[in-house]
Amino acid sequence: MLGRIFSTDHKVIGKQYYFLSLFSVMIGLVLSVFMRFHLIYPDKKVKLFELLWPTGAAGGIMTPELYLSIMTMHGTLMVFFVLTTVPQGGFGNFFLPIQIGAADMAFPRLNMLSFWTTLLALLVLLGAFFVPGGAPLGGWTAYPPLSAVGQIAGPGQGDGMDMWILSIALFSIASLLTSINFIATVMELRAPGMTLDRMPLTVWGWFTTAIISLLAFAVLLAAGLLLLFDRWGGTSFFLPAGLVINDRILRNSGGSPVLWQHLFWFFGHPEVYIAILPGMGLISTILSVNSRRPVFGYKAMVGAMLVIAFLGFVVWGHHMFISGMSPYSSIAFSVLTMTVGVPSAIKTFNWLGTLWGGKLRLNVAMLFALGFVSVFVAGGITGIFLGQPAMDLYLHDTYFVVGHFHLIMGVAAVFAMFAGTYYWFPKMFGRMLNETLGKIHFYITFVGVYGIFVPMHVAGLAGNPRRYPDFKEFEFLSDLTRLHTFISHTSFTVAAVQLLFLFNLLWSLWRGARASQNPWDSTTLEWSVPSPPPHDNFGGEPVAVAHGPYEYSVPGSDADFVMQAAPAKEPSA
Amino acid sequence: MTAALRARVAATGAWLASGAMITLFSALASALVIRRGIGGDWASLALPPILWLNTALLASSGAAVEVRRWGAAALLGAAFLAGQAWAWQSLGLALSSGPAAAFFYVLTGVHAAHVAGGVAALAWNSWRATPGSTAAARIYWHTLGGLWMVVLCLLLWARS
Repeated sequence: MLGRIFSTDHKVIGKQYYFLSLFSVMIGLVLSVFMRFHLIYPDKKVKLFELLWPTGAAGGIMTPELYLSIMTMHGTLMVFFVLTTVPQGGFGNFFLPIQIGAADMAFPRLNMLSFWTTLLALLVLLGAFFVPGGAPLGGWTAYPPLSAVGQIAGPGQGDGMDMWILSIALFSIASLLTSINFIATVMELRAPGMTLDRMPLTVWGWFTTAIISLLAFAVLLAAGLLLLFDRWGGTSFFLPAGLVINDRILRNSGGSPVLWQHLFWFFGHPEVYIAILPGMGLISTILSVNSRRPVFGYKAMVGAMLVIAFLGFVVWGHHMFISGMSPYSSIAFSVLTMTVGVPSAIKTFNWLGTLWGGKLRLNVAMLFALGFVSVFVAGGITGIFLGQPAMDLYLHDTYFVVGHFHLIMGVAAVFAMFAGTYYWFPKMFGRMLNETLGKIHFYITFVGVYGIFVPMHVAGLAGNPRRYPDFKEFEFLSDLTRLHTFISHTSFTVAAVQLLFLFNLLWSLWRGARASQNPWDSTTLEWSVPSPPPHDNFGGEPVAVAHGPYEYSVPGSDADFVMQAAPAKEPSA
Repeated sequence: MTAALRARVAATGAWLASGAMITLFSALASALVIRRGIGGDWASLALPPILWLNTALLASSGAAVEVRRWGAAALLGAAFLAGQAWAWQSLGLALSSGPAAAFFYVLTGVHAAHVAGGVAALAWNSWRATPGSTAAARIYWHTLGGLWMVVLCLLLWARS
């Protein structure tokens, strides 16, 4: 039993990451429902709030500080423990070694250490709810000076903020170890014949994501360390002179809060691609499998991923247009930001090219993959608006930004996770998910997310600031009350539908129909082993790869697909 | 896995870990350069002379690794750590006394934490060396040696 919990098997670790994130996403989702409820019923007394937060919601009414702490924890849980964790730690761990024909990761014990460090990071983060003062208030970006001065900036900025920084530092270390493992595995442990141009795009996604993580999380770790010194050591890295907070004069001098912004966003922007690149690889695969066509422009897809990874490191300034940076820098960051549109458009074009003329199989994985393309385009286009310094002056810190990043980073990545779950569940657990429940789940979620996040863009254009705990004091926002009511009720519906997914998942774990070895007629290596795969993946058999990853509808072959592990064709005389 | 592959995998892992460490120090170094430029409160800092002795200790430890004297290398590494502790003592400034001192402590502290891990790896190798563990320890240790030179140059540049 202990051996199964403290396992070095990449498949067990992959599932552990998946369930860790499932737990995190449930908390994150409930917190978002609490926020949406409070926004439209700020004066309603809620017994549950009082039960959960006897001081923060005394009498059942949420204080503004409690709202901000819930917002912070929602963002942190979702960005780190869901968007960063499932695509890479969950699916990546389970499938990367199998897809390249390896028996395990390059460093299995290090892999186990990564998982347990991540779990510790999650527990420390959740611990912030229980320390005096509660969870921090600063959002997932933890901007100084308010994140660096302690309790005087608000109840959660004391012990809660310390827990937050500690959790993120632990998470960074775990992510660095994971990245080392992923890159070394891809570089060294590919089976004979698994050349770079035969790697599935999922593997390319995990590989580029690992490279980004290796560079980005090291910078976040450095930033977190300096922030801790400012809090505990009395240093002034991020704290300027002359600060007066809550009638208290601080004795710091010479530091700069903008320095934190530079360090944070040097991590924070690549983080967006950490969340989305594995999904891009997976969506390419699912579209190809379910339209029975090879991925259109495989090499361009790989190139686009590498270009996105590179550009991700040179656009961080677009988060800081209003920080007082030189307009010349703004223009440079703006132009580079627009450039990200080029590889993104290449990917979208190639996804459509893959679908073109295909025999579409509209199973749930495919529906979520199509949904991914849709929200990726919708969220990407609003990014072009925000990437213009002149537009951003107005739109910065409004609901336009909230709508934008939820569509492109949140929903797109989550759709990739759902697609991955419906596609890979049979391989991971040996049973099929229920397709009918899955379709209900997809259609309501798909319509629902547009119902939530498109109106947010409208609210943002109307000047509605983000992070406000309620809007009742603001005359100019009174026209938006009905819009917010609509957003909130849609979000309650979408949240409720996720229970259907949860039910489907848990029910199918024990009662789902048995999965065959290759239920989707896919070509990659994980489908040439039993479902679920045995302990060392290939039963000690040597693996030889003779085919590309997407040989669908190949003229002259018996089936409409050729497995990567199928023997090479005899050269015809 | 064959022994040769194991050694190669370990070396690749160590190179990647080096990449992460170099990035970590680049972030701290760029923070120093920016902070020194904007603050207007950068006070000059007299570096403790023992740093030169420590540099020699770390360099000879690196040389000992090259001739595969793992025990000696570990001892020299531990001596470097003791010397760094001496340097912190003799600097005698509080963290909050100014940005130059703060960066001195942060840079040397983060470096020392990595050196402590390296000393453990070297000691392990003197006990039971495998092709993988020696290849990884060698890369890791020389990276730390190189990073110390960078940190030292940075501190020399930023002392006034």
